[in-house]
Amino acid sequence: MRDRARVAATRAVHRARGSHRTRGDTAYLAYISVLVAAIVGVPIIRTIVLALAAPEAMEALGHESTARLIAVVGALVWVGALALGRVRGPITPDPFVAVTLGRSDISPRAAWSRELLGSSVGACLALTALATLTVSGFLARGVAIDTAIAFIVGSLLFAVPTAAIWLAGQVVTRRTAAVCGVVLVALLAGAVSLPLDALLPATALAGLWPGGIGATVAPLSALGACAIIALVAIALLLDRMLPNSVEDHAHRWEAMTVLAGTGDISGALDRTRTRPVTGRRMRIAFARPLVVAVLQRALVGALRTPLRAAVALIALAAAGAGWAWFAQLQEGPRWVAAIGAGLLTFAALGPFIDGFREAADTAGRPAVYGRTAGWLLALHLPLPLLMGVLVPSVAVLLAGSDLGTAAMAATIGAMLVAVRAYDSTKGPMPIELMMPVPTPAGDASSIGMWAWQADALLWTAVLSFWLSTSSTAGPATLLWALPVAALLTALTAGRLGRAAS
Amino acid sequence: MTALLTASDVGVVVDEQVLLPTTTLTIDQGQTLAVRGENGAGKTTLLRVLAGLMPATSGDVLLEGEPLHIRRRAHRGAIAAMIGAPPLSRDLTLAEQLRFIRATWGDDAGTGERQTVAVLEELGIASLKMRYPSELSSGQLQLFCLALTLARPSRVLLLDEPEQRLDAHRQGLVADALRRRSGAGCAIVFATHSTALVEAIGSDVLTVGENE
Repeated sequence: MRDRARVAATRAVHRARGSHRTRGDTAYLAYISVLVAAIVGVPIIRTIVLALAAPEAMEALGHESTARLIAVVGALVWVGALALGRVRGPITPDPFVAVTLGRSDISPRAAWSRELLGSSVGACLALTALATLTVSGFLARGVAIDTAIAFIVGSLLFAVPTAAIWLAGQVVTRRTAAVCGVVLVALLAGAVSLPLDALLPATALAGLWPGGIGATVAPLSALGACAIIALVAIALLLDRMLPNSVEDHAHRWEAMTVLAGTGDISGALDRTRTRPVTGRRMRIAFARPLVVAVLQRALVGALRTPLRAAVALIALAAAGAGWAWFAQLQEGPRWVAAIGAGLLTFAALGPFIDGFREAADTAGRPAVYGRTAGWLLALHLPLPLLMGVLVPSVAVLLAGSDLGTAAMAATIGAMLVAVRAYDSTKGPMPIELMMPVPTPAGDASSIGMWAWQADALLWTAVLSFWLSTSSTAGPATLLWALPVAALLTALTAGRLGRAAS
Repeated sequence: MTALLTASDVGVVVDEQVLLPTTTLTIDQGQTLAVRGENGAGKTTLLRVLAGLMPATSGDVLLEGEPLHIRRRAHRGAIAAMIGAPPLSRDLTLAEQLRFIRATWGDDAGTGERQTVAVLEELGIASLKMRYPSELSSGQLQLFCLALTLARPSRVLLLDEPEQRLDAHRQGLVADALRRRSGAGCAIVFATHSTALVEAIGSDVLTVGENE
């Protein structure tokens, strides 16, 4: 029997086990998806399109600095694709299929081409849809239609190497991934500093942006060449896929989906934390006072997962660039820039708050450390504060913005560290939230559950939105930031106290 | 003279379910007490009550004659317990985690280093000191969890089945380590299913749920 026929037979057995989605399930999922898209998605997209089509937004979007931002975001997408590939690659089948096909003599190309095709096409479509949304203001106004369409086509071409890098993250060894990471960071540096007609992939994409360099043939040719090379690379990488990689990713993803399904989003995200295998010879002096020892320990700990730390640093710098862009926008979608930069800062702080998680983990357990959970959490503050405050504010200044904007970025960075500390003490979902809440429209318990799950993101979005609408900026931001930080500290202490009792 | 740790008629009943039948024990410095009983008899619950992690629904636990409040600094400093796995730092080597623990108890770098080496050698895992926790076997992890608990200072040591997943040689190392601490004046209460460990330590025995 040929390989493809054997793969089909194996998948048929898997479907027959009943764990696979039935046609009825698929139809119901499609029905729910259409409903959600119609009720929630369409109004949101319409709001974004109208906001982007506003005259002030059009002026800001047509500015050359926006094209530069596109180049930076494009380069960041590649760095992010590599990092994502390390924890959740494009080939992540059901664990049963991963073991059955991966441990057989069937070639990786025959075994996994279906998974790879689905993931890659999905990623390309998602990136292209996002690109279409960003130029929707131009399309809605009928301005620079040709360039906008060229940008959409260029985004599709840019998405193909993105898929290849995602696959590379799953296939290559840790050492090769580190080399890839260095190359991608160099490309990011190029996207930040080189002229937009330099024809690096990200600058080529930015060159297609309405308000960019005004050329389409050269950038599209460059991106087309990248896409062709990426297709060849995908085929070569697929042949090198090892079964243990597919199994690791499959088991991790299944565990994450199960945890997320039970409401334990933190536990699910925890599975994405890479384990250190290098850097064990980096010495921690454990100098006194204790706060210095903890800072040394946290810094070395972060450096032991260098790709994770590098991605976080880059994301924090990008958030700083986002704040600089925010400061440039006098009108228009300031809130989009503010919330985007806030959420990016929140996410990027992740690798620097492992100490918060470990401190929170000691609450309510036999004492191992000579300090309470609250003290330990406070001792772990310096590293995330340094990163959350310094990196975005320096990036703001490097992006050419003023000191007031840098102070604002520093303030929101510090606030988001407080939100992170609060979030790390969350613990399991209270059982009361899972009780049914009957309403005429049905069971409303999921609203409370989702609000509980997403409270840190809601805090981040609200604080960022508040900042975008606040008439005060710079040092005056402290007037409202300090009471909010005090409230978050009190809420964090309350959670730790409840966990300890 | 006041006993170091006293539990008088302690019991835990939740929704009419008896998690710990009424139990009384007294332990003084340098004493060792093995808590024995069938699975589900209440051994771990007794340790949790003695560690101040679970309130007894009846009876009292006294530390040096005072009601036990584990959030009180002096009580937290007196009682070390291993009931389940302690929190681990995945990005620190074994030696670093132990040194960090010592640093939080006030040791300078030199003292912390010496204490760390001593605990690792005592449990026969000094050769693993540069490893991360994810690189340990289940038996090695059990020894490391014990090391984390033994690394901190304490006057009362509570251990839940310290022999789990250990071969006879490692059980002997654990028994030696506990005997040394007992000799230094530490009171030790440990739940166990291992007769060999009880005999090696030469501890008194309390059987939980014997009259149920």
